[in-house]
Amino acid sequence: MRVSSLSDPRVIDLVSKYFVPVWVSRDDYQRDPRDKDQKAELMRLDQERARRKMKGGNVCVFIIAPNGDVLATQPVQLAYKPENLLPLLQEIIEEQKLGPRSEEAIRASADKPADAKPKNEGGRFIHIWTRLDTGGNQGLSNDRVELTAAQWKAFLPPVEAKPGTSWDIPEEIAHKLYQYGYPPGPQWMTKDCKVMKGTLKATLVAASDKEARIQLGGEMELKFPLGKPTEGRVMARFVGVARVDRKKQTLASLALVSERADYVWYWQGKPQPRKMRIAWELEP
Amino acid sequence: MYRGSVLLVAALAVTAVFAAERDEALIRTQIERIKESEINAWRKIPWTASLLGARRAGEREKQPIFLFTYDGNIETGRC
Repeated sequence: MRVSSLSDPRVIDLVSKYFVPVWVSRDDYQRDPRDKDQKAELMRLDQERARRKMKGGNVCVFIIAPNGDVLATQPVQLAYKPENLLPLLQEIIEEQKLGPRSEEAIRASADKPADAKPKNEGGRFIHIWTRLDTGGNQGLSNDRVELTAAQWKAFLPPVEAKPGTSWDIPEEIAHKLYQYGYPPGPQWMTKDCKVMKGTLKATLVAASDKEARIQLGGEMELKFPLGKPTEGRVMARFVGVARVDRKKQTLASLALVSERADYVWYWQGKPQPRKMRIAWELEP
Repeated sequence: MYRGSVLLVAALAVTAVFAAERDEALIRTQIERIKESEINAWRKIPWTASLLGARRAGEREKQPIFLFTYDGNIETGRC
């Protein structure tokens, strides 16, 4: 839905102008966690939909009247196509004789993006993106992981290092980064991912009084459940670079990208291989 | 002899720096290509933070609610 109808400019226009839009993860992933009343309201809507024999499911669009009545529903199998969702929205706008919402009202109800700060003093965020290169477009996964000061300092060259000196990034740090290297899709429990193998090596390439340049290389094998009895696996090899500000003794940049990444999942016992890409980047 | 060795080491160091710069440019280009393929127009929709917040806004403005329910985490692209 997010990469199909919800990213269609015509749907965005109608939903933004005439409706109060809200998404609810049934896996309780809202930034504003659902409390008892929110859960009760979602249950009421589900029950009303079922009682009135309206189509639906876990992934579904509901159009709800200002008084709370369910006006219409459209399950994902239909709603992911703009040519199905658009007529539904237009019908509601005409039937209800809706006028557009005011800019002020939109501003007042819209969620403000969370300003996430590192939890640990001196912590730095690494942003991780993954995408599938073959098969349907599922967009990008978009994750952030915080490295503590002690963890990102593992990328700094040892004091006596000379160009050509290599050192291993501790397994705990490599695994922390690699755990997010699985493709976008419905498997969302990162903690269920198991890094079966994960190495990351740093080599000092050049150093001056101001800066040190580091080359990175690594490999990983990741296993994650897709629902019993199937599982997904990612095998990948990476290259990367980092720059160190030697005066401040801090990481100025870090970028790591897959040279090769293979994803495989199993359907009725048969492997379904796909190519993917993975990237990590230190946030400024 | 000594001068020759110093020149060789210096030449290797310069080569290494050039190679590192080339590698860095390639890596950054690849990362940009991945980032550019993001489809995130759905973020332009002025989503309300919670279902009850949307219900209150709908009641106040006399406008219907567009509720999208799903499994997973839309913000990380895992849904």
